[in-house]
Amino acid sequence: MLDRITPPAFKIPESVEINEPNRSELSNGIPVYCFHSEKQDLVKIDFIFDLNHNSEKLALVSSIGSSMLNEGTSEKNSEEIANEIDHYGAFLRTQSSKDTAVVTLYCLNKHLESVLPVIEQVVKDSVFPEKELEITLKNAKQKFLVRLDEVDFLAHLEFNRDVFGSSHAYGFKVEQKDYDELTRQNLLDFYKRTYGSNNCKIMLTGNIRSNSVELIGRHFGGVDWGVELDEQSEIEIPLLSKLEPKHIKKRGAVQCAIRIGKRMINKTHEDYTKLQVLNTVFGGYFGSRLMSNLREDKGLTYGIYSALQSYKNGGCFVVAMETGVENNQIALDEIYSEFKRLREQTIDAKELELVKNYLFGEILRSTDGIFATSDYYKGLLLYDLNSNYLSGVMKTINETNPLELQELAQKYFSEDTLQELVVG
Amino acid sequence: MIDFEKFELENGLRVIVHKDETTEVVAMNLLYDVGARDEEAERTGFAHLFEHLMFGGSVNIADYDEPLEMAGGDNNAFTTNDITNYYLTIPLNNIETGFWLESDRMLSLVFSEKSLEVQRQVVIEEYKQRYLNQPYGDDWLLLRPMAYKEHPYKWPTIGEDIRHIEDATMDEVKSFFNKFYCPNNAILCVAGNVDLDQIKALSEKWFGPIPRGNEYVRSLTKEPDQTESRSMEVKRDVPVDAFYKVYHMCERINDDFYSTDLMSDILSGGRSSRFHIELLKKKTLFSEVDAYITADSDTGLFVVTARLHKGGDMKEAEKVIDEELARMTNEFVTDQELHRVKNKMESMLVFQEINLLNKAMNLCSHELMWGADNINGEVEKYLNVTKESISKVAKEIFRQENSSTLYYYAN
Repeated sequence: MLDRITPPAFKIPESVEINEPNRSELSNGIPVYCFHSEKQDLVKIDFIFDLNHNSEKLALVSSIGSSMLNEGTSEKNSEEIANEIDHYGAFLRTQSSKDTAVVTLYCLNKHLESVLPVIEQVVKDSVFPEKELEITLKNAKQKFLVRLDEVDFLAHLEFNRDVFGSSHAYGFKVEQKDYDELTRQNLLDFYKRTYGSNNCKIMLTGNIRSNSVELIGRHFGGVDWGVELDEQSEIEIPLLSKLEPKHIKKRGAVQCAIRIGKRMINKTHEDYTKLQVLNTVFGGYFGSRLMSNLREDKGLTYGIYSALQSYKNGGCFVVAMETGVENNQIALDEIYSEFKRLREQTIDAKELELVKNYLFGEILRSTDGIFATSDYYKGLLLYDLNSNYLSGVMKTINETNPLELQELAQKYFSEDTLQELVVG
Repeated sequence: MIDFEKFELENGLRVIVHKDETTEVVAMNLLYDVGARDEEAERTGFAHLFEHLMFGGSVNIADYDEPLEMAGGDNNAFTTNDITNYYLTIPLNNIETGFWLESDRMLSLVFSEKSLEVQRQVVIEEYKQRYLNQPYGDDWLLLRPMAYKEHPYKWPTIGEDIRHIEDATMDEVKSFFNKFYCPNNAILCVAGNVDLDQIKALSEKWFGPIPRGNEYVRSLTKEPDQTESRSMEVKRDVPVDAFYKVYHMCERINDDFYSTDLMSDILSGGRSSRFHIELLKKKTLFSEVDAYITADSDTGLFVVTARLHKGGDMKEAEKVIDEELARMTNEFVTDQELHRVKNKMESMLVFQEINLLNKAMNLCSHELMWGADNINGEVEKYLNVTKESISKVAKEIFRQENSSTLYYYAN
């Protein structure tokens, strides 16, 4: 008779390793990190540019600026660029995050040589035509206005400002008028200071042919596209005092969005990995305490999570959920009581073992295959870390004990430091 | 090219094995051939509610997630109008944990009252979060019953009326399980660095003893041909007006599907598409305009959606969209246009092979539709599309009497 009661034996991988990519340099000094596998005959190229946080409006300028990179060069208009890239079945993504602007090309190997010339123009010679800017801004503004109707989006904007302050790009709360005030000159300045060979790293992932790096060098290896890096030093994230709990009313809302959290350390801090373990216990996976209590036991929400968000110059910790407006107070009380439990009681050994195993599985998943590995590595490059970091993470997770986690909870999650926001 | 092998257990469970030697995790995808289209008209939303209940404990295992997470695994599931799909990924060593968990919940559930009560509430919160508390969130709740009068695609997976979920009883839940959750109504795919013999042995061991269920014969009311254009106006508390127009189109495994899919790409796939250039760039009437297909198992929908700029005129919006669709029916697409969308499709199909779980899901859904072998014929079918075949489907689809229009006005 088959024993369906006893779980089958399992084994958790003791170490997960990623190979350090093959690193070379173009003749102008741009580092190229290669992740090679022969599996599919395609390649992905990331051009990564660091952002300088010297203006509180960086987020808007960089998101509009990067999205418009392929809207016109001095030789080609928007439509011609799109036709050419699409002709080769390639996909170009130009986007920005809080700390970087990234241009990503996905392409079958057989078309790489043909498509690179237009990518070169887009990266090195973008001109942001006035007419395209007008259309882009008008459409982006309207999408923004539609999103302002979502409690979750409102909470996201407001909470970021409460945590990082409106004088820093991390916390600046975009408003409608910022779209109206943005000029072509703002974009050109941003472009000139960002997209340059001396501010660029390249990651090459996929089936890398023997001449791939040389091909890229032919288009991006020259000294013709250096930029004046910003002399201005970065704006500091302001010191803020904790605000009173805030409830922003929204007419007609049937659910409200809740945020509780605070400014937090980032990936480079020695407590970070342990805090990640603690966060996972608290709200970082499906079986977390917040999910078990508020969703699986009380049915208060479709989902609740907590997360550590690490940025180059700071970080934040946030609990987020949406719940029926009538249940708002019950939900808040439950979240605070879970914080209290974290501070006052040590975590049971079995629960901690489960979380560690789950995290090992997560790390394995997030580094499985070269495309996942290169994405993971991209997250390390931002902090000038390399693959050794991962072995450190595995070791720290292994060693973390319940007592340490309780101390961390007391250190980082005392109730009087937590910011509370309700929208709805 | 995705290689795989396939076998069937005596109880009717079909198993697909895809070997990928480069990975240290294994993906298991278990597809049940039941979706919202199989629900009774008075009990809609059941397939989806049931998906939630599948995590509430099975006959021998009190909790599904915990032992999976303990073995380093992660999982999720989704429900569509056609299927209910469960999937997990786990370190290769621990593959048997996946077999143990999935087979036990196919064998039977505990059917706890508490789980039913809680998941009912969770689904109601999901309904609020997705459909009520989002701008334009109820659009598909309005479009489906307008486009479909007979076929069960007329209700959404969340349910036609949330009361159906509120009123669900344990007896109904049990009979739904018995009807649909049996090995002969499911397809399993295991993808990773695994061997056929190993998967055969594990499948026999864990799924083999589960008895075959009654054969479910699907007999859905066919949607009659639409003979008159339909339309509907609503006013809602949203920032700007939106426009929706949907047309009936063929089912997923029809040869015309490929021409229809590429046609939607020529209309709105990226910055070189007609909608982008003609409607977003040359006319500044819209902030967004899209065309896409639903790709349903039964006859589906070709969908056009647009958001107008403040003060934009709805009738003008409709007119310019109609003109673009008329151009598609009256003139051939250019060779360059066709070349572009074919090349993009070819790239995309190769990119899709990067992800292990993706491959497992696609193998299952192809097996269900018309045999997993067909997964490798997709590229060629797209490459065989001609401007004539696109013109043919355009003429069939873009007829006013085949359309349903939703005018979604801002208050």
